[in-house]
Amino acid sequence: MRGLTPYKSGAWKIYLLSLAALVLLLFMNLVFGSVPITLSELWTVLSGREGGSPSTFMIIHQFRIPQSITAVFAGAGLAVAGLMMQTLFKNPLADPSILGISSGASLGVALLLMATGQISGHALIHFGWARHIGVIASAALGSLLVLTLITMLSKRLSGMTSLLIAGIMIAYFTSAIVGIIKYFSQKEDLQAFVIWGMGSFSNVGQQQLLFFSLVNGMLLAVSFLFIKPLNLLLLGDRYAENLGLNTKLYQRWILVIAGLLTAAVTAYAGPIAFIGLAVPHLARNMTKSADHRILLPSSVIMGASLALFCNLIARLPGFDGSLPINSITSLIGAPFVIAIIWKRQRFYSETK
Amino acid sequence: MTQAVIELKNLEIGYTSNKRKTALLPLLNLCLNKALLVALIGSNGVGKSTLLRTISGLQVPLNGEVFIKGKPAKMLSRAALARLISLVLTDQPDEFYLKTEDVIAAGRYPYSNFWARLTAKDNEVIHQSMEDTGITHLKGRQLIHLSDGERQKVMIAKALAQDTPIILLDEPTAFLDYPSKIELMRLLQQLVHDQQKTILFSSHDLDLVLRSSDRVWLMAKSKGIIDDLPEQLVMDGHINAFFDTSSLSFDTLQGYFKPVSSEKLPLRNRISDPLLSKWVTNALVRKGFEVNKKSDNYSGQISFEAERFVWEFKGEIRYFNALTELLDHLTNKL
Repeated sequence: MRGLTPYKSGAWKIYLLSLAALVLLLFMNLVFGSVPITLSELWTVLSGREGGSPSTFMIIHQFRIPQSITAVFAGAGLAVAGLMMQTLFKNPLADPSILGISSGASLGVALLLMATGQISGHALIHFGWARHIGVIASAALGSLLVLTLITMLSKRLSGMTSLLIAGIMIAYFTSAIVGIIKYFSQKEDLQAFVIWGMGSFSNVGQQQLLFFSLVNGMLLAVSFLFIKPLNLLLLGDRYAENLGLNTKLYQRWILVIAGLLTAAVTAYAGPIAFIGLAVPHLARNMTKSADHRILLPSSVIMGASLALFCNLIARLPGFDGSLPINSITSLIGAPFVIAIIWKRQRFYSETK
Repeated sequence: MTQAVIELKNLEIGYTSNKRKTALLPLLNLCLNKALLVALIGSNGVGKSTLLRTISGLQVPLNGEVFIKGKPAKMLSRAALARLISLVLTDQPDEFYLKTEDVIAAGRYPYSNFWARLTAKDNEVIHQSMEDTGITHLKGRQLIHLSDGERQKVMIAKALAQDTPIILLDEPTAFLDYPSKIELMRLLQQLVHDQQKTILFSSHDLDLVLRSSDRVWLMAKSKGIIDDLPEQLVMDGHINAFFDTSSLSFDTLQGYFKPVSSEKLPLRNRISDPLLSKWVTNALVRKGFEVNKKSDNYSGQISFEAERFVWEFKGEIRYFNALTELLDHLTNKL
């Protein structure tokens, strides 16, 4: 009976290939940038030997390593959240932001900007490191608030489709409030908000890196506990229920885990589009599988790789500084999603 | 002594909306014995799917209880129920890259561990299920690339892999072409006969049901469910009582539906070749004529001599070379 267990199905080749890509991209992220660093310099710094220049040491330890690790966890987290949402809602276009969780983060940040402006009379930009922590905390708070609301709604609404509609409405609602707040904000705050909305992998400083990695790593590990329920949900709620799954309970848990992953990433990196939407499709296309025993690990690896790739493009040599990461993910992700729809349409016109 | 596998006691099925209960049928008291193929028939919206969902535990009954192998279903855990009843539904999974063996493997999930790791035994059961349903050649294929009949078989293989004494199917023949319908019924009969499965399926294919099921549950809004042999239901006139309309009636002698005879004149069919006679009658009935073989109450008669159809009507005789010419003449003239 070959081919029935995923580990015999050739998926390991894809794992190996994408892992190699991940490692390569990681190195490229450390080497390339506005200040080019040679491999031998990198080796000197990473191995902790004497002789490297202090500025190279600083660039690698304070900027490139935190940025790369942030990209790895953000990409993996969003990809897994997207995969869970797509299975949960049986919708190929579902993504982590679909339930308004990232709009909740935007609302949190917008409220913070307005509050500091109104109370202290100064734009938030003048508050230094406190501003940094404040943005992360308020984004986390805003997205968790929306997640709580959605979870409560999921107990009351019977179908996942109703929940999806409710989530999209919440997203509209919070965006509207954000719009009003933006209208009354100070110019500097507005600019800060727009920049936050463009997303960035460089918001996680050396001090917060461990915490960020721990939270995301733990959530990713927890998501692996839901492989069996996710596979069952793929068959439809009724089949899942008949195969012994407490469908409603697991749907809610998967919702919470995907929501927490989204909240954790969005709080630190801002709303990042398309990775959560595109990577699960990439994983399906590459592995030719719908089995979450294969899709979940490959989404982790490919999500991390895609985020690193986008980060690399954003910091291509020749640009001064870096391009907004959200634009890069959209530029790469949008054509990809169109290709998926095109492929499906071709499939349907061939068979029907 | 036959054993009741499913027992319904004072069961009231229906739905609750805005805390108001709406019952679909009078109280049901029924037994379903082991190793039988039972068809659930009744008009649209009468509650066939609701009953199947209620028995399988997907839906809570308004009142009363379902007993599975003597135990009240509401006392059984989800895991226990998953090993007693398997389902085949009308809407099938349509996820891209979902393969035949993925779906059938899901049938083993009630037995597998937390990580859904398949044991050697699981793989053996999966293989056997594919063999029993005759779909080993579909291994590795994506579900969405299969025909409706093949997909239905995959879902039945999933039910077999689930290894339950009871299988419930909601309209398994609905989207199939005619040969596939018959093939599917044969498969269900085999499972009952060879593996002692108890199978309850809903269907609208009355002739198929009458030909292949061991018992029929005839469902009607006012009377609940009549449980009997298919032949008995026909002979007692229940099929007529439930399905006849002003324009359609079930021919208890032939075993199929035909249009209620119109005001068109009765004809006599005197063709001696049985095959030709049968299909000429078929064509005439289809055109709305009443056709007798022997009775004297007729206004025209048809026979077949020297490779030609002979039509006699009020002393006039006409000859036709083909059935289509005869039909054209009759429908224009009468």
